[in-house]
Amino acid sequence: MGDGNTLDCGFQGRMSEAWVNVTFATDSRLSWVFPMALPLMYKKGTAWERVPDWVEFFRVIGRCSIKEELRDVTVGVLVPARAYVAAFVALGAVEASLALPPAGFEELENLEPGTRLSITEAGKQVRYTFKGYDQRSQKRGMLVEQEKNGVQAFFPVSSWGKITVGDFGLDQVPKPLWNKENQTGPKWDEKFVKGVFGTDDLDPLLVGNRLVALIVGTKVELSRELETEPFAVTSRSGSHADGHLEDAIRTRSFADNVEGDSFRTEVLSARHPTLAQRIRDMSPRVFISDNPTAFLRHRDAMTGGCRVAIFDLTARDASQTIREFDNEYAARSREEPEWPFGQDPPPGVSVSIFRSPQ
Amino acid sequence: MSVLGMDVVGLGMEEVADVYDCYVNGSVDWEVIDHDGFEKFALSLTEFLRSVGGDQGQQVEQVVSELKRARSDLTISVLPFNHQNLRLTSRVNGLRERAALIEEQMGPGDPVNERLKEAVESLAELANQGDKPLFDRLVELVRVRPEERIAIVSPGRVSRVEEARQALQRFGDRLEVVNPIELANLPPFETLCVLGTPAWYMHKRGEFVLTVPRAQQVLVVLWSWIRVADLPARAEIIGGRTGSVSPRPVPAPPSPSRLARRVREDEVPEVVDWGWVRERAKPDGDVGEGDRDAEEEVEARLFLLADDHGVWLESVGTKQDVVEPDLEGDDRIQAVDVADLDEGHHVLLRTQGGGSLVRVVADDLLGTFAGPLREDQRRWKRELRHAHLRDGADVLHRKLREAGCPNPSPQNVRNWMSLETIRPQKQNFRAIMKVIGIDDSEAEVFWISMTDIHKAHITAGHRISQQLKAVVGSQDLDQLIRTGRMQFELEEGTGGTLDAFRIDHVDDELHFVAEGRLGSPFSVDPFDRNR
Repeated sequence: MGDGNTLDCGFQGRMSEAWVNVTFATDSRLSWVFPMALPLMYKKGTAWERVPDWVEFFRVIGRCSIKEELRDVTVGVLVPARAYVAAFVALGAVEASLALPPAGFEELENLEPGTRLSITEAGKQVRYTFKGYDQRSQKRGMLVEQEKNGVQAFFPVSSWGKITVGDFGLDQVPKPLWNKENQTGPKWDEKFVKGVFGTDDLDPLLVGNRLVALIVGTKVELSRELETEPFAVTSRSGSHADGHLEDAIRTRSFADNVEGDSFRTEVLSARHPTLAQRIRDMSPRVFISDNPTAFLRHRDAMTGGCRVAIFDLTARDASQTIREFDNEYAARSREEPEWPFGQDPPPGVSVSIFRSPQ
Repeated sequence: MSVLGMDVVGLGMEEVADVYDCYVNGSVDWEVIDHDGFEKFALSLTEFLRSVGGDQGQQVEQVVSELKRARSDLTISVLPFNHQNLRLTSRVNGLRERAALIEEQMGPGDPVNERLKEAVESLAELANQGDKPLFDRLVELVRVRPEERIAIVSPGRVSRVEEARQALQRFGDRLEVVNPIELANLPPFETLCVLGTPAWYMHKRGEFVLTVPRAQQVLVVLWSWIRVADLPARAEIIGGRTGSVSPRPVPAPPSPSRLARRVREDEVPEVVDWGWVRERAKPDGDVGEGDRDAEEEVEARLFLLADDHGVWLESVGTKQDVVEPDLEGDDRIQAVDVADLDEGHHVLLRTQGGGSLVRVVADDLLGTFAGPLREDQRRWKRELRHAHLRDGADVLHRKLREAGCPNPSPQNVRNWMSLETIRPQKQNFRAIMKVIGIDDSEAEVFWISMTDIHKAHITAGHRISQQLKAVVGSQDLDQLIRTGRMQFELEEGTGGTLDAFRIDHVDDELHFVAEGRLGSPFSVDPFDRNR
C-alpha cells in the first residue's frame, strides 16, 4: 500500500501468548497498516459496537500527520460535532509514532552540564541534571545527578533509550514504588492498550517522554472524551478489555502521576493567552486546534509540525474561524501536498489540506 | 421541565454517532402556520413601517419600536393572544395614546396616521382573541409522534423558552424546549420544531440549527405571512474534499401565490429584544433607587447574561474580572477590558450590595474618609466632563497640551473622565487641574486625596484577588459551564458573595446610565417581579 498517496506507516505489532493465545479478530480496515490491531468498540446502549467509519478516518489523519511530508501542512477538518475528533487524531498520531525508528542519541551527545533530563526508572519518569560524560568499566556513558538529594548515577550508552531531554519527572524515585503493591504494573488497562495498538511491546509508549500531539481546546470536554468515555477491544475468542483513550495516548495533564508518568500527548486550554514555550520547545509533531479560539489565537505559534484544525459547525465563531482558514488557504504556497489519506472523507466530513504559507 | 442531558459536559460517543447520522440523513422541512388576525396585524404593521420615512420624531420612533416588538414577541409566543405575559391590551392602550399625539403633530389625513391606526386596531382585535395557533400546531405535531423525543427550539431569551416550557410541560420528558446553545450540547432528537424565522438563527451561534440537523427531521415552523428567501447555505471550507455521500439538499421555502402579500423575514426582527432589557434595567421606584440615579451618568455597555439577567458595565477605561472555567488555579481569574467582553465570557459580579467590590472594600479601608475623598474624585471628574462638553474634544486637547499634558489623546481624556479610574500620572493631573480652574494648592490636596483612594484600591484589589483565586481556583466549575451561572462565597468581611454569569448577548449600542447602576445584575425575567 505504500504507493505514495496512501499510508505507509508499517507498524508490525507483536502480540504475546500472555495476552491471549487466540486468533485475533483484527480490524480489516486497519490490518494493512497494523496487522494485529483489534477493532475499537464503543458502548451503544448496553452493548459494545464497532466505532463508526469517521472514527477510523480521524485515526488515519493522525497517523499521516506525523509523516515528514506533512510537516508545516495544515489540515482543515469540517465536522458536525467536534467531540472525539481531536482524540482520535491524537490516537492515530501516537500509534504511528510507535512505528517510527527509535530516536537516535544525537540529542544526548554534546549536552551542556546542567541540562535537565528525564529518565525512566521503575516505570516512572525521574528528573536528573546532566553532569558530564564518563567512562566506567570500559563503557562510555553519562553521569547525572538528582538535584534534590545529590544522588549521582551513571548511565551507559546502552541505556540511553530511557533518557529524554526535558525538565519533567519526579524529583526522586519515591520509595513506595519499591513496594510490592506498586510493582504489580500500571493501574490502567494494559490489555486494552495492547489490543488497540496490536502489539505486546509497549516500551515505545512507556519509556521516555515524547510530545507527539498537542491538543489545544477545552479541557473539560477533552477530559470527558479521553478519561471518562469507555472504549473496548474484543478478540474473536471473546476476550474483552476495556479502557479509555487516555490510556493509549498518555496525556500529560490527565496522568495519574503528572510528573512521574511518561507522556505522548498534552492538552492545553485554548483560553491561555499564549502557547506555552515549554510545549513549543518539545516540538510536537502535530498541533490539533479543537475549537475556534484555539485556531484563531494560537495558529501562528503552531509551527514545525502538522496543524490539524477542527471546525465544528455548531461552535460559536465557527464562521469566523472558517473565514480565517480560507484566508490562509488563499495565501498558501503553490506547492500542494498530494491527498495523503488514501480514502475519501466519510459522510458528513469535509477535509481541506494545504502547505502553510512561509 | 429540566433540560435533559445537561448534567455532564459534552456528548458521549453514542450521541456523537447519532449527530453524524442526523447530519447526513436528517431532513429539513417547512411547517406553515396561519392565522388571519395575526396576518392582518403583521401586514398592516409592514404597511405602516413603509409609510414612515426619515426622521419622524421620538413619538413615531417609540411606536415603531413597540409595534415591532409586539409582532416579534407574537411570532414565537405559544400563549393565547389575549393572555400574553406582557398584556396586549395594555400595549394597545399605550399605543393608542401615542397615536393620538402623533395625529396631533402631523395633522389629520396624513397616511402615516391612517396606517398607524390600522396597525394598532388590528393589534387590538388580536388582543381580544383567545386563539393560540402556534401552541395548537406544536401540540398537533407532538401528538402525531407519540414515540418520538422532540425538541422545540426557540431563538429568544431564556424567559421566552421558559414560557414555552411551562405551556408544554404536559408532554413530560419526551418534549424539550431549548435555545440554540442548549441544543448544541444535547443528544440529537427525532424531531426538532424550530420557531421564529430562519434569519433569527443567522448569527454566530444559531445557524447550525438549520444547516446541521440535530434531529432526523427538522421542521421550520413558519407563519404564512413571512416570506423567506432561503435557508442559509451550509458552511464549507475552501478546497474541502468530501466523500460521495453528502447531506440531503434542503427544500426551497414555500412560495406564496403571486398576489399574496408577504413580509420579508428581515423586516421581522429580532432575537434579543434590547428594548425590553433596557426597560427592565430602569429604576422601579424601590427605596434607594433615587440615590443611585442621582449620580452622574457615564457611558456604559449593556450585557444580557445567563439565567435571564442583564448588567451595565462602564465602557471606557475599565477592566472586568472574568472566570475562565477552562484554566486552572490562579489563571482562572482574568481581568478583561470591558470593551473586549464578548459572548461566552463569564463575568464576576456582586449580586448583593451592588457595584464594584474593589470600590466597596476600598471604601471600607478608607473608613470615614471615604465620603469626602470620593466627593473630591467626583468633583474634578465632573469639572473635566463639563470642560469636555463646553469646549469640545479638540479645544480641550489643545488646552491640556498647553498646560503641560504630554498625551491628551481622546482615549486618555475619556479614561480620565471615567469614574472607574482614579487619577492619571502627576504631570497629566496637574495639567487637568489647570484646565478645569483649580489652583496649585488645591490641586495638591486633590492629588493627595486621589493617592489615598489609589492606595486603598490597590490594597482592596489585592485582598479580593487573593480570596477569589483561592475560592474559584479550587472549585469544580461544572455548574458554571452547564448553567452559565455560579455563586462564590468570599470570606466574611470581604464582601460576601460574587456570582459568575455567562454573557449571552451584547447590545451594540452605547448608553449613558447612572454610575450607581453599573455592575449590578438585574433580572430580565418577566415572571420575576422582584428584580
